[in-house]
Amino acid sequence: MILSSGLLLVGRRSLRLRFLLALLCTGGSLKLVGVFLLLLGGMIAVTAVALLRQPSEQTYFVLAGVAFEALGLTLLARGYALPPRNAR
Amino acid sequence: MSFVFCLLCILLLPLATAGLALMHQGLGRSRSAAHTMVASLCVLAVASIVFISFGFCTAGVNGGPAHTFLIAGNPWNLIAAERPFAHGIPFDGTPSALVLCFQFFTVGLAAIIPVSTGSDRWRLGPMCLSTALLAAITFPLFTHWAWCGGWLSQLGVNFGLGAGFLDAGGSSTIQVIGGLTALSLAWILGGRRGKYSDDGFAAAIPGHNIVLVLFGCLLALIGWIALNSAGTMLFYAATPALIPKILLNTVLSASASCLAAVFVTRMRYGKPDASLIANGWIAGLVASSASSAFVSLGSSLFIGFVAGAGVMYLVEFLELKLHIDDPGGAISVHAGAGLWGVSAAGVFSTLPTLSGRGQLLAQIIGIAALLGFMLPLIHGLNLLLNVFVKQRVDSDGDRQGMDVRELGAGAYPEFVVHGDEFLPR
Repeated sequence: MILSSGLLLVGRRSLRLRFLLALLCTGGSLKLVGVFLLLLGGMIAVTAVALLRQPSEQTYFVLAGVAFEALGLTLLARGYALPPRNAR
Repeated sequence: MSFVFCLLCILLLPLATAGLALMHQGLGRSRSAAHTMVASLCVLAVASIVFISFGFCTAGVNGGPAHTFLIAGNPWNLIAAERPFAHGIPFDGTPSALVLCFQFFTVGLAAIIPVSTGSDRWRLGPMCLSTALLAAITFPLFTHWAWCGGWLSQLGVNFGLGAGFLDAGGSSTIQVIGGLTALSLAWILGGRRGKYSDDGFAAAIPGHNIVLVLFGCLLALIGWIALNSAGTMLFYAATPALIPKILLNTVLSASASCLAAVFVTRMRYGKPDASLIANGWIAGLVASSASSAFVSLGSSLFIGFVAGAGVMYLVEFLELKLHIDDPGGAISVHAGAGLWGVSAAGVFSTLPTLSGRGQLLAQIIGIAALLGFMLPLIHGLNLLLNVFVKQRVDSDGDRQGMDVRELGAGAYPEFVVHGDEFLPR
């Protein structure tokens, strides 16, 4: 995951695009990224409640967390919905 | 809280489980009918034993021993610290014993939900092991958070968010946890043989006994009224005077949802679809559970209508777009309508709160916890189980049907003849 993030940040533009495409087209990676985003979204929402005091700030961060989760769920579902020869 | 009224309601709870079991059996194929009913009984047995042995240690009761952590100056009650086999719970007419009984029955209700999704391909042994994981880890953990003094239920006291996470009848703790387990298993098991062609075309595999399905709906209604009443009395200190309102709201929500299903299926397919109408009915019951005592009758109608209409589209979306084979529609009905019910409680609830704000935010945090922590946990545990014990039946079992493969005889040996495949391979 760290290697992937690093490549996305510092690689050449075409390389980055190809890597992103490969990442999104492989079932296994999609599932991993999906679960990672689900966990991240949950952490953002709970951390917002624990650390922030302003109601508006809490609301924005909790909604951001849920948005991450929605994206994670979409990727996870997409990873499992790929045709068998790609997904497994 | 009235001990006798509450006990009466708890005694009626198994009717909800019986109704769901009948629905699952009727919506599956005839060649796996006996297997589905045997699986339902085994799942109930495993869930009961495992919950009393280990699960209750994690779930606990409100005000009981728990592991609480101080984070940024606020207490976070994460997990109960009860003893195995419910040692220390006094059976002397105190609410603790009733809470234990309520959880004991509801864990069976949550555990039976994935049976529908795994119909016609989920082996009995792994099914029992997966149920053990649900009854020992996932269900008790979220039950503690939402019902028994955990951090979600304390969001109002500790952070001024409404009255804390509101879920009186188990829209989240029972239905969404069961629905998310069903989703995880649908991903792991894959589709039934003949459900999807190589180019992704989905074949319709109709349920084999729609009469049982509809009878199950009526049984479930009685169980659900009891579920909502008992939950409200136990966790929100309501009096039996509130039961008539709970009864009306539960039935109104189911009715609106059922009619929404009739309307949507007639509009889309030309005629009302019986199995989807049954799913609509249950979706209304599920959505009503979170706040049946705390919303107006009009709000209940709206909650039910949205649940029924939404579930119709969600069933189709999961089956056709995401290729999730869910024979009984359990994921849409329990997880989908459950999440809607939890959100609607935040919008329509009239429960008096300490700060008068933040109820919707508390509900959204509950949803974030369900999707962000419980889904990865449930999916991880089931994937791990699948590494050690293959959950899906082998290709011979796929061809024979689960009755012959695992039980040695069919449910209807004298008269049912069916094609082996719905799609030629």
